[in-house]
Amino acid sequence: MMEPTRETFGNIPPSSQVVFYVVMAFSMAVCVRGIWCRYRLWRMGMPSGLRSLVCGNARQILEKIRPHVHRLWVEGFAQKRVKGRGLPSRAHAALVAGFLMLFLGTTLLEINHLAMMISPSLEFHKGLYYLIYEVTLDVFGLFLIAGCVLFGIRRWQRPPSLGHRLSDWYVLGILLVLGVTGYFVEALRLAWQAPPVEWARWSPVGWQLEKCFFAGWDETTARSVHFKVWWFHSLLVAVFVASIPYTRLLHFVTSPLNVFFARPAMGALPPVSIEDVEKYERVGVGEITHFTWRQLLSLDACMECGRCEEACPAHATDKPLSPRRVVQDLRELMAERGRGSERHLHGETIQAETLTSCTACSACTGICPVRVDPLGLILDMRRNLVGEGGLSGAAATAMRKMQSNANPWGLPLDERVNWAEGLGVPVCRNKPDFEILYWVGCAGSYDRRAQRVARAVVRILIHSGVKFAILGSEEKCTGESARRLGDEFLFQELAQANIATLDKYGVKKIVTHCPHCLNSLLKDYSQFGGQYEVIHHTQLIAQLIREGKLKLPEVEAEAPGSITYHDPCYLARVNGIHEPPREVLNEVLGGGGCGGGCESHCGNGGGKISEIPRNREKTSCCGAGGGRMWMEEDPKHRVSTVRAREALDTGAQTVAVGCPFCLTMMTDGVAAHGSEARVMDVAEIVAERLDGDGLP
Amino acid sequence: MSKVLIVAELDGGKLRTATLSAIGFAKKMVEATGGAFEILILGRDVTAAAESLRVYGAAAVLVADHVALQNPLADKYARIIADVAHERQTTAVAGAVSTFCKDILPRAAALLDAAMLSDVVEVRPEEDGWVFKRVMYAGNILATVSLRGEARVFSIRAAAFPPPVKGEGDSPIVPVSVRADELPAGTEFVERAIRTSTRPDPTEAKVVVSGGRGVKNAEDFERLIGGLADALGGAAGSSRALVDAGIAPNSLQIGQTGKMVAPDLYLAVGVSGAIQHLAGVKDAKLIAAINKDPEAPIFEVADYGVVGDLYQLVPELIGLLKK
Repeated sequence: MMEPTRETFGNIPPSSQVVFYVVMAFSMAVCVRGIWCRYRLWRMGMPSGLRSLVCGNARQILEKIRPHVHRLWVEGFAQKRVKGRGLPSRAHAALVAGFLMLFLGTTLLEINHLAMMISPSLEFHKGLYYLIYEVTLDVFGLFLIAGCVLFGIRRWQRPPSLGHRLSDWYVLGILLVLGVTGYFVEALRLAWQAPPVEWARWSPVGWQLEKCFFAGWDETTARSVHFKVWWFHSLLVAVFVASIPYTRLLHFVTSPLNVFFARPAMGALPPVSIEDVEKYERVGVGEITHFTWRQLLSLDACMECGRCEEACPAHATDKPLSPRRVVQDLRELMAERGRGSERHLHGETIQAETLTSCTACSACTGICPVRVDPLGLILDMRRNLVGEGGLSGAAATAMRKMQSNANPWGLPLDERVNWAEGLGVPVCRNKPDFEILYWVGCAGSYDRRAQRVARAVVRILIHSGVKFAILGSEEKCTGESARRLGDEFLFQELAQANIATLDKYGVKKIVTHCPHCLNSLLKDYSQFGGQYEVIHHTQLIAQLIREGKLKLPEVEAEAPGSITYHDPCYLARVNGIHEPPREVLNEVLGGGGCGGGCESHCGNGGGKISEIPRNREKTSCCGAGGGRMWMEEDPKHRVSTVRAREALDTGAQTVAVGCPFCLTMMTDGVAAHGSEARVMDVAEIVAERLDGDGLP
Repeated sequence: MSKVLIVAELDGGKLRTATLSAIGFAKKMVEATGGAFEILILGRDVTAAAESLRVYGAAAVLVADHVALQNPLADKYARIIADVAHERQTTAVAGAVSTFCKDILPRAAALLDAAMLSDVVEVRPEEDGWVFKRVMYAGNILATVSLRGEARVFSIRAAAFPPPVKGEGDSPIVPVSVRADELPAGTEFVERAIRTSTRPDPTEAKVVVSGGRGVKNAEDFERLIGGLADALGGAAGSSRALVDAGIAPNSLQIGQTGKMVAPDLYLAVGVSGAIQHLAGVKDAKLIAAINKDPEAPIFEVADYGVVGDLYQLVPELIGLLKK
């Protein structure tokens, strides 16, 4: 018996084959030219420091490139970040699987064809390989069609966050028609070839089609129709390839590239140096060409899936900001600039209100499947806005006060330590023996409400015998909100002063109850020579409980679920700290420590806190980040009101928080709903249990 | 030898009392080293106000009376002040700290190419010049400074200089010629919106009664907070919560994002004491609080506090005050 196979270009005369190759070469040239044009647009941007990736010896280069390649594999090929959105994610997976497999199949077929031109003995498209090839491609073709249909339904329903262009119908249509005509080419081939049934049934879809439509056709008719349908299919492939750079199909190229080049650094901002300001005579991004070319590339990687928009707290409360819109508007501006347009970025493309609406909560950057960083774009533009004097009103006042008095309320420096009166807190100036510095922050120092948090932390530290100290009146605002607001140099001024003080006292380890201070001390200060181990107070409390240094007296346990916890963005999402506070709260509820990270039994059930649906990395902002704490917000559309509703809907009587900003905002939000629920920091809830230990 | 020019400030044709403190400042300079001071008054139909200024011992009361000066537009006023100061070889120009002077004096200083000091609270002579004290950083710092150059411009903190005693009305009135067509016309006066409230502005009042979330509606706000303010002869204020809820008008909001007040008595009624609010009252001399929550942070900053329901306490308080 003959080995199963089929002739490549069977039924296609050599003249047609030549024409086919010419057409395909032309189509690919159109495609490459299109990508080249986009590349030229990206290159309008500033250098991105990518050259450092290829510096050093081979081993060093390999080390540097390894995480990028790993990301490309996990997030590009395996689509890790595309997952998690239900049906649309599955539709995309089906489409990718089908497309990649058919692309691979076509490539293998082409390799076989070229190999046979060299020597017929090199043919490998036969035998068992051939049969497996046929059945695999047949099955994956169905995935492709299923993906197209599901995406078609989604586009038909079109949720508001999903960007849509007319060409999207073209893209889905051409993919669908390619899939369907592919099957018909196969069916017609089976019709004229009439292979043995044992072979034919390895192409199940084509075989069924053949039986339905072409059974009993004579060979000449079948050959003639096959030839025509084959040409139709092939020309469609040529059109498809040529249209890649001009439609959303461009993301075949840009999304993997962006995933590869991305430098994920949640919570870190590139520093601006005075030298750069003198060299370029500007701060931040004032025009589209001031972005780095990597940022411009990322604009082309955005497919407008709308996840960022759905996660954006500003957008959810009717602020004039959608991260998706910002990226798309910039992309449009980039293309226009490439065509010689003089349209400006600030005012003419992106409005100041859009930039100031952002809470820097990082939800957009955290959720983007292809690692576009809308927050980075926004903050770079904000720097320019603020540098050009575009900040006014309450936020500008807060920055001025931060500059003059090292706290955003402009309160006197010598009152910074008043909160600690009578607590016997060791102050660095008196040279105490300490292992860990307690960074109090401005809120803990001046805000009467947050002072209670600071006193609770101190009480826990003393109770547990931790050797700690505070900087007292030598502590200044970290400058975090100044930096996120765009006032880089005010931030640097404060950071340098603080680093000098911390270094003077040889501080190595810092604990703070403020996630904004934590992030700044950890990720901002390291850029200016301040290297510290920084932990959140909930981490320290959890550790003290685990080590048995802090024992909560047994009391009548509160009802399970009576406490809920709102994750602060800069703790949970940006720094991945979300289990320690739960560990502590579950201990309070009598659930016992569960070692952290136990998703399975910490979520709900006996002795556990009740969870807000958007929790941990998926938490939603209280509205105070990115300097929004210092701005007025329309009372009808407040971020805090929305988030407080989510917390109250859990039915909990206590809303626990781990951030002084969240404390303020959630208290306001809970009050706005007329609820009697208590909003308390985790430390306060713990300290409440220590009542009667004789400490002040 | 000093030659001081005081810029008088009018409010609806009437002299503002802060101007007298500026005269007190001028007298202090003149007494210390000799010389004289003059008062410049600008506006339209200002004869009455000019007459009232003749009794303070000024070498002259200079009157720039012209229809073009009806409203205090900085570009026109500053030009006249600069011209007069130049003509009369003035060594110092001064006015009281106010929105009027904040608007006009820096512009006049620029035209004169003169150094300027704002918020001056003290002046004394020293060897070959003067030493001044001025407040900085919202009162946290008292800076001692001296200025270079012949001409100087000052704004004077009213509370720092006592108004002078009235003497004989003998200062001559000297008209200043105003050539309206030569004055700058960059700014146009559109309208003057006057607050209809009979109560003083919270930023100027000696007593401020402020309402917080404890107040349930606009009628209660007017009846309780407004009523108590009237009984104490003070101003009404509000925390952000009430402005958000539409209970109190925006103009009454006190705090980081509202007005900064510095009354002798700040009475916080139903105000919890969030930092954003307290940042606006840090210069109050005495803080008293009424709140039903004994845990409210306001009690930590208050000098006096009553734990109780404002709906019961405030009417009682108004009743007692009216007796």
